[in-house]
Amino acid sequence: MKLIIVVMMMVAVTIASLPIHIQDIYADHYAQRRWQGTRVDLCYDSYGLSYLRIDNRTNQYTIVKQQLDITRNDWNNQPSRFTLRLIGGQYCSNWVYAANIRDSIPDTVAVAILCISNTCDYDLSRLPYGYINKAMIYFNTGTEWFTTRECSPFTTGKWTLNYVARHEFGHWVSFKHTFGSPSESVMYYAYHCDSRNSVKSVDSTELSNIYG
Amino acid sequence: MITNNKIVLMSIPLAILVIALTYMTISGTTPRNDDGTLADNSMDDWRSLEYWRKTHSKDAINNRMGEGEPFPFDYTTRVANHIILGKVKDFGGISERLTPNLITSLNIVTVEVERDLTGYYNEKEITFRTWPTELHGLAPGDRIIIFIAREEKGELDPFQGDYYLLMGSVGIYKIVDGKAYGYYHDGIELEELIRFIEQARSERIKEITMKAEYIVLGKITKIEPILLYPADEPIDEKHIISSNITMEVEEELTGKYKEKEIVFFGIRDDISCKVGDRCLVFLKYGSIEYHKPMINKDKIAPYYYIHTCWYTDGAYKVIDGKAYGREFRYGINVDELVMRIKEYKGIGG
Repeated sequence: MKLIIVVMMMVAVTIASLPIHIQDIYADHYAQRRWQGTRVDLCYDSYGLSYLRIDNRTNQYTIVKQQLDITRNDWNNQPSRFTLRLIGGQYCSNWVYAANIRDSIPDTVAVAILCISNTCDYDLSRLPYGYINKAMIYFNTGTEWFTTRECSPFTTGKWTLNYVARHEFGHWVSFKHTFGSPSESVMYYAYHCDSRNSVKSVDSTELSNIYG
Repeated sequence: MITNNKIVLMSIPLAILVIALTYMTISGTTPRNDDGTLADNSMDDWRSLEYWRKTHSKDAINNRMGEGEPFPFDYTTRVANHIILGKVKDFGGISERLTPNLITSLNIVTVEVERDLTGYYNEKEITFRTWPTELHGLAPGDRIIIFIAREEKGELDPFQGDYYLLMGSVGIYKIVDGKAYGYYHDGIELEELIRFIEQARSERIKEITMKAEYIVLGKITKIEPILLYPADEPIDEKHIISSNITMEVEEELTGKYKEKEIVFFGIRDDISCKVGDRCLVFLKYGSIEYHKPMINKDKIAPYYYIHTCWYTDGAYKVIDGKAYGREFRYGINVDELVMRIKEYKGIGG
């Protein structure tokens, strides 16, 4: 009988701890879709990316790559096991592209696309739940990109490439937008220098909660 | 000896444990809304008006995984080649290889034209390209208003010189029972929307005119690349797009600039005019403060090219007496354009 009481107490403790456990997993901006593993292999499309206009120049793939690497490593340097690993080769599934998007979508600067099963979309609400199996980012070749800190893009038209890339990679790890204070998360819904300049502690914690 | 009663009693906590573990597993994998309720992303009735309104609301656009924001309604209206009131006829698909690694898939949509609110399109049907994700909630037979644009074919261009849907899903209204539903207006009377469109179209060129300090009509005589950011390696001049542009002044429309020549700073590719072209450009003074050059501060021209919502909207190329630019895609008589600009600036004559 004592054994039964002990077991029941253990069960009660387990059940009582459940809500806390669930809350830990699902903080604010986890989109409830994720990669199955903890490493995502990706490629840069050097051909297209060399068309980006950066620091008022074109044909600057080396600089573009440096900027993308800065932001990719910012995510990789968090305590989480999750990594975005740059690879080469034609069999890559996950790509960072550039294209002349013009003003053909509301997101005129850059857009991240995730695929789950056979559905690809840049609207998370339309993606089914499940494991992400493919991802893309498109940067607009019509945009004026800079390596410098540009904080008024809606008046000047100037965007900091690594700031925008940091946010888009945030979508890749399966984060949606936040709507609180810009400085709290790189996933703040609108471009803001205080948001996009680094991966924030709330982003890092969430990343660890999801991927360990 | 373990009796049957004891087995039953012992199995109770085990059963509870199994239930708890199952609950944990389900909770751990079942998506939930922010308020903890179970999430449901089923498509419901994707043709319903409610679905359309939900997916074209400001919240829906804010939640897209992108950077940048839609143009204001007036601007989208002013820069459209055509604003078509019509009915969706059918959908097709096309793939374009843009780079050795990139093949993009696009939708091709054909619309039966009832009327072009810009007045330029007289065919019975129009076909345009758009990204597949921009057409959710549309089906053949739907009555719509669409904002359509066309640009010259360029590098890495998925549209290949064809018409495309301006601003994607933001550039479509669905019309149900005489009301138009879209990103900019959610349930506006169609006639009122048409009035708004006509009003915005009638004020083309006003916004940039009011923003400009100098408006110069003249001929481009020189485009000189100027590097504003340091480079680790020598840069071929053809890859430097920041430029000092020299213009022979025919007329400066505000009357403030009296010299025969002006040199202004701009991004070469944003300005549709080349050396030898007659051109009208919108300028301001104070390049150093605006562009903050890191090098060659003493070389940057003091005047600079301006734009409003898109990089290319501050220059008009004049061909055979007509000025062509983003707000007048099919051209406007240059004398009429000059008259409009002076009127907005409050300059007599």
